[in-house]
Amino acid sequence: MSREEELKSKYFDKNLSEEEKKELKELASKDKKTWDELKEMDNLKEVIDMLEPVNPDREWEEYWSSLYNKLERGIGWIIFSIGAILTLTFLGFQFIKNLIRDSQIALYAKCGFIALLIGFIILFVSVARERLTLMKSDKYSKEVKR
Amino acid sequence: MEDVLLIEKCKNGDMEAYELLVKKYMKKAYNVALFYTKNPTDAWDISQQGFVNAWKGMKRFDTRSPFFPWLYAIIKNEALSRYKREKKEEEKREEGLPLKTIISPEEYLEKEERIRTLKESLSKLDKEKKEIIYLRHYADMSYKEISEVLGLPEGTIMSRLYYARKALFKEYKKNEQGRRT
Repeated sequence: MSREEELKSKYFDKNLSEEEKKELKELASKDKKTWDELKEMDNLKEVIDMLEPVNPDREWEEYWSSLYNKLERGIGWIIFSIGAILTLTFLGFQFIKNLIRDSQIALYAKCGFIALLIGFIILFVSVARERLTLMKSDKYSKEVKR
Repeated sequence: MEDVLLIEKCKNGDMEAYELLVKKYMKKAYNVALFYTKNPTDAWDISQQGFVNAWKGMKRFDTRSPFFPWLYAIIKNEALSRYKREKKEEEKREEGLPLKTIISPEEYLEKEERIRTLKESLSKLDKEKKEIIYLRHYADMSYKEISEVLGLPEGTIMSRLYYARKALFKEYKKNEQGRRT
């Protein structure tokens, strides 16, 4: 980037020091094209400043309260999940224990129940692992990783 | 209060500190999300999800780095993941920038042509140029902040912005002449 380009950039940002203003004025006085370019910049800057990002369709005052609810719910879900995992593990363990001890249930039925349970656990772990791997190898997350 | 102090408090689970941090950056976060989604409802939602993810990952955050570039990366990531899920919206998202006029209706009538020309010209720029112009002029970010979020030196940002504006001038002039003829 040349010095002239740097000065023009600063001119566009209205960020020129007094010395830089003089320097740019001197450059522009030697070349009419530079003057015209500066005028065009003023013209474009005026239009750029007439626009702003579209406002949200909700009030800014609501932002924190609705975010707080999401955060609270997130914490709720974590606690719920931990509770659910512990309860299900306990119930599963009790179920298998009682199943094995129950002499009225036939051996093939016991094996069937246990195989069903083990199969379900394997499938669950496999799907969860696949989802996690997919999340980690997401090309979009790589794109912004710095 | 300084970001570093707020973040240290957040790491200890202080929600009041996080509220201050959120209120400081919510508009910038929304504007960043808006650039990627082009839709105010989605931008609100994605920027909030960005803050939720930032809160979850706060313990891992290195306080020697500035907060906003990290949040920016989270929001961009969230927006792109959603964009990837909703491939149907692809074409729509490639359109112009989500901007509205801030002038009076009388003034608008007078300057309508120029505003339309600018919007058209902006929509014709490539994504990189559009992004840098949007961050500087509409997300109200300084050169330093842009350099932090894009991970490039300030000099490079200045140069890229110069060429992006130059391309915009060119496009604007071309469209302006096209309208006159």
